[in-house]
Amino acid sequence: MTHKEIQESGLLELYAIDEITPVERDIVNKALSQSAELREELSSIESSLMKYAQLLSVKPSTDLKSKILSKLTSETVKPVSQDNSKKGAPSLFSWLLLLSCIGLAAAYFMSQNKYQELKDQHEKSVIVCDSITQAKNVKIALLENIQNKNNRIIELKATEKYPETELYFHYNPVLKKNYIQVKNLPHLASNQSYQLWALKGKKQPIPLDVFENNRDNIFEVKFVDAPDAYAITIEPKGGKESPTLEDLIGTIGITG
Amino acid sequence: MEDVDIVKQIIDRQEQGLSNLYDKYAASLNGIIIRIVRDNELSEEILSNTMLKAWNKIDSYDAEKSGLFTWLAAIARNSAIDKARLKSFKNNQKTDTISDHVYKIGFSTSQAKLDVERLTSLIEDKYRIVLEKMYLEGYSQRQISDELDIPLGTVKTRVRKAIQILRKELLSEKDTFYGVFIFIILIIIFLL
Repeated sequence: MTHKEIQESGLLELYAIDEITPVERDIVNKALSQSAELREELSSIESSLMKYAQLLSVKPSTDLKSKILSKLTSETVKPVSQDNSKKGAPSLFSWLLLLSCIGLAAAYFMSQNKYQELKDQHEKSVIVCDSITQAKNVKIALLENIQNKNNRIIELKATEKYPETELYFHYNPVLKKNYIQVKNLPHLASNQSYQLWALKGKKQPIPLDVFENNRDNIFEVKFVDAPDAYAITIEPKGGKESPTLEDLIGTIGITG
Repeated sequence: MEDVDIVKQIIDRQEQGLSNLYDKYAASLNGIIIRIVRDNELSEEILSNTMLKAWNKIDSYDAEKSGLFTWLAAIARNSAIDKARLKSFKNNQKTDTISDHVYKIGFSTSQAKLDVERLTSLIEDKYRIVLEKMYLEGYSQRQISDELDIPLGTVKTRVRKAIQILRKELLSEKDTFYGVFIFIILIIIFLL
């Protein structure tokens, strides 16, 4: 039979209704595998019969579906996995669960951010605390040193050029530590610094610390063994190798 | 849900697949079965067996050869015919007229009843009776030929003619619907 003869014979309709002999079925199957036009024709016939059946549909009892699904477990060869059995149109509970999960994830994400932020703050605070502790320890050590029984507090003897100068020198030959306690120093130009010198006999003055703190401060300076005196001058910024005697602020006598 | 997705779910042994299959086709299949066996309880028993057969024998379904509903309808009809023969339903109820048999069962909605009445009014009785006997009562070609005293070739021709009218009426409704839908969309686009 040609495809056209099959189409006109009514075999496709009988095929769709399943009222066809095995021989006829083989003929139609073979023709269908060869002709897209016949497959389209069959599809159209099936659609019309399905719509016809829909019009004639009769709703079964409301509990039939659950009865069938309950039989499924015992008649199923392979077990139905729990996850797969839950697939399908999501219920309100599923949506709520999904929203809860999203909410939890968002809360977790936010808490993680907050945790990281607090952790950073904590680390910064630890660094600050450490530096404060370190500074405090330095201050305590300084206080202990200047209160040491071997400590001598020597007042700077100001020159006539800088009579307003007021400075105390903390000298401790046992601990080999020196501290300068500034009360008042002459004004410095922006290109100038104070410089400390050690004076030993007839030797050239030994250049020591260069500093610019001029008010209410106490700080450690270099120690020199057995000096006769210390002196402070005003020098170009950064200091010099030999002192500028015209700008001598004052001297601190160690001996005598 | 598309048939292909339902079939895949069932092949994957997902219970939801059978649930979807039931939701989509149970009422239509029940409409066919109940018109063959004319017994609600028996009809639901056959429908239940049809669904479970679909679940257990989904591997035998070939989408290249037929649509899913056609395959299911064949299972349902054959089961219903077997049951009907077993209980001699046909012998007991031959006094019913075909129209009584087919339409007194009831419909899911009153609209469906109106649609069927309109549809059947468009099909000449000689064609409609053959279609109903074959599709909705489970008669074979030979039985129809004998009962109506018409040649086998005529049975085929009449079934084909009836289905052609169904195709024209039912499928053109879909085209009309799509036409109206597209028309409305075009108006909305135009207004925007």
